[in-house]
Amino acid sequence: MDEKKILDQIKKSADNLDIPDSLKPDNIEEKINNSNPKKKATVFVYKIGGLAAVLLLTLIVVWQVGRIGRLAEENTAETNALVQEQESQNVAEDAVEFQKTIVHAESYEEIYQALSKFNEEESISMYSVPDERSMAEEDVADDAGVNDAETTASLTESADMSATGQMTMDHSETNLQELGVDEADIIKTDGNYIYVVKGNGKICIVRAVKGNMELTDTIKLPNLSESIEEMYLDGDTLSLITRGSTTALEEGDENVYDMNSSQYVKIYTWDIEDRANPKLLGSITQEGWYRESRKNGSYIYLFTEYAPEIKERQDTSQFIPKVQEEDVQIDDIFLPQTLNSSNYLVITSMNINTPDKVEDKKVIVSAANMFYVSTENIYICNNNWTGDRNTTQIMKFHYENGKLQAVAAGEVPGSLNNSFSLNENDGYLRMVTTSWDSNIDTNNLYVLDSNMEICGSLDNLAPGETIQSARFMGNIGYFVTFRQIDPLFSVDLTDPRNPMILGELKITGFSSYLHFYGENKLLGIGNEVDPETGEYKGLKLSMFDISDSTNVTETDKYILKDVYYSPGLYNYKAIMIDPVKNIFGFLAEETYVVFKYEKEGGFINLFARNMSDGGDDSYYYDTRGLYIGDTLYLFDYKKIRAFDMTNEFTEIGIIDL
Amino acid sequence: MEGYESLVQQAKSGDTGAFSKLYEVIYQDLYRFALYTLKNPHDAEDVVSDTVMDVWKEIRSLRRAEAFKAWIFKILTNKCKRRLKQYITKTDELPEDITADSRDICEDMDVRMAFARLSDEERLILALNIFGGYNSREIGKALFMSDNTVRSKQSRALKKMQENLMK
Repeated sequence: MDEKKILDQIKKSADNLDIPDSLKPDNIEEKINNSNPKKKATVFVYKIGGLAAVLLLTLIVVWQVGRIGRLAEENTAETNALVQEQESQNVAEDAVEFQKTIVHAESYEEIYQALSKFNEEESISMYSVPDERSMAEEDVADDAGVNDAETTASLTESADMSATGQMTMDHSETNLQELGVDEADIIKTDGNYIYVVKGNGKICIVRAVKGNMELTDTIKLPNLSESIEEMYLDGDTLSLITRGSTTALEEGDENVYDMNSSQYVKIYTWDIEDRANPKLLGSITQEGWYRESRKNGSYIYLFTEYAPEIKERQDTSQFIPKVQEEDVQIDDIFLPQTLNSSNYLVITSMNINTPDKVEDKKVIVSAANMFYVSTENIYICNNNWTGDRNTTQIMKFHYENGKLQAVAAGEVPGSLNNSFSLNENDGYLRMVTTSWDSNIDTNNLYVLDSNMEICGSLDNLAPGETIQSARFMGNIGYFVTFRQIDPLFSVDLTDPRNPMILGELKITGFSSYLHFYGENKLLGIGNEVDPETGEYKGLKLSMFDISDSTNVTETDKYILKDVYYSPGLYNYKAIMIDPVKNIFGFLAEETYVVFKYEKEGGFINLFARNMSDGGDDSYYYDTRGLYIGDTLYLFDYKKIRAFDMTNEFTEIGIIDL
Repeated sequence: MEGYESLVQQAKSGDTGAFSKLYEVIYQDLYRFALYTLKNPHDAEDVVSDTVMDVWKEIRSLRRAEAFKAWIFKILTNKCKRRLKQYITKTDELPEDITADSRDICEDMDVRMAFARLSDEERLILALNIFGGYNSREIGKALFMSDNTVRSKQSRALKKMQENLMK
């Protein structure tokens, strides 16, 4: 496909557009000349008003912080207030320091005031970048990166007996970021059955035995207007995350009705002990649209984003999100001193054994650009641009058996590549960022202690390059930066206060995804780039020998020429990988490819199949693979195909869903 | 453009004529960008008009003259994103096609229809590239994605375009 040609076609299609007269330069100039010349002054006065409000808010916070016993912050907050007072002459700069404590809201009224103020400032503020739906969807897909543990994907239950008394085959698992923290997906398997989200509204349960497939049952949602986002599978329990929306007419003035629509996310839990006859056990619901979720033990943690409506006539139901149909109580709402968005992040937890009940909930008036969930904590990260400088603000919530607790917030220079740029180990959060400073990118590594204070750092690494991928294991971190060639850095993090660069390997191209692949091996999937011209040459697999962190070497590489598109490069769940079984697969352009790696032979291509013949409703460009025993299954949203891995990947089965 | 910086300086000191000259160079692309992102000519007209007025009001705070165009596009992008969000939260139906007054030839219509069938995010990314002249890195910064992600998404969107065009 010639991308340039299509881009040109699109550009050309706009050439003959008639531009509305009102936008012609003469008319715009006239409009400007006619606009109120006092406007400037009004804006100025308003800004002072805004700052005064901030001061007031700061004082409230100081009082409140004292009251709830978070004493440590008091002095800094007071100092901030003083500093702001002195700076009030110079209102052009937004000068409120980032808050280290995650502060409770005092009242619904306080939230309403803060939101109104934020929205008004938004309308005149130029640099603000509020979190938006389009980005919200983005982050979900953006979390490509690295696996935390060597064998995350490989739950090799070598043929033990499952609860249903069936033999369970070894099988692949959803590719996860963090060992022990499960992630939802559109396809799951337990070794006997494959579960897929079909057409958003249905789940197909397919019995799969050595390539023979049979549709056991189809689960439909009780409310057909809802659709399925993703699912979790836990033994005989299947939990579906769904979205829906409601619209209600509300009378404002007499005989005048407002259209109020709201979006919600539900988790439906089904008992599938009898796969042919699943039973709905219950559901929970919360407002907002789906961002992400995680599961640890029996608990699912659900993150939604809620956009309040700020109208003059206020009613809490319009600006306070609901969980289980009720407005979230003020005690569970956090209101940062400085808002970065007028949206809320709603976090709830539920136990799949009590599927009608929300275990705990916390709500923050904040954007959420990125999530990282360790086995103990939830980190919510936001990109923050002020003028020419960028920072990342992180809020930390501790979780345990469904209970959620705000811990602290921190801020570091630079922005994150994806969630794999963060990793928690032994209470310390290690992260790599790229900062934009005096028109040049530089890269940094920070170690934050359990209170989110920076305790160790390395900065100004690889000026002019940006971080493309990262991954941490125990005391060692690896990350890739890129401009024309790809240095793979290794960092010793044994002393969190004193991280040290151990080595830097320069090779051509760069890896966008890193995965520990068995003992002392690190697999990189990315792009090959011509070091002279910067031209992309195709998709590249690299195997790094990391037995000596101070001297990492690229032992093998494999280039798929002219392959640029692979969903695995930005959605790690689209990669099937199991180092123990020595197999990994992903879609490359239109072809699903499967590889193994051998020390002697390097990368060996086992399988390649063009998926673009799947018919009209197939989404072959997001083909997912999984294996059960010796059978590979490929799902293109319409069909599942089976291939015998012991017999040259012969196609042995197909089912239309 | 010759005298670009001095035009920005003049505009900063309140010269509407200078501002108008700066605007003249880019207004067509601003409108095309908004129309292709929002698919609705009235909304596109609105957001461009709003953006220009905001830019005029705030031009004094522009620190680097060379960033003028990028600055306008950034503001326009944010306004478009907010509109897109309103389409989701309100019940407005987005048109299936990019309706616009134009002197069309068939092929342009087809391309526009194919473009209209892309997702909000895909339209935004491609429009930023085509009409804003942004590279994947700059788009990534504006949309909080890595440049790789932008490139993948762009490739995928163009693939979808190609398929849509073949239908």
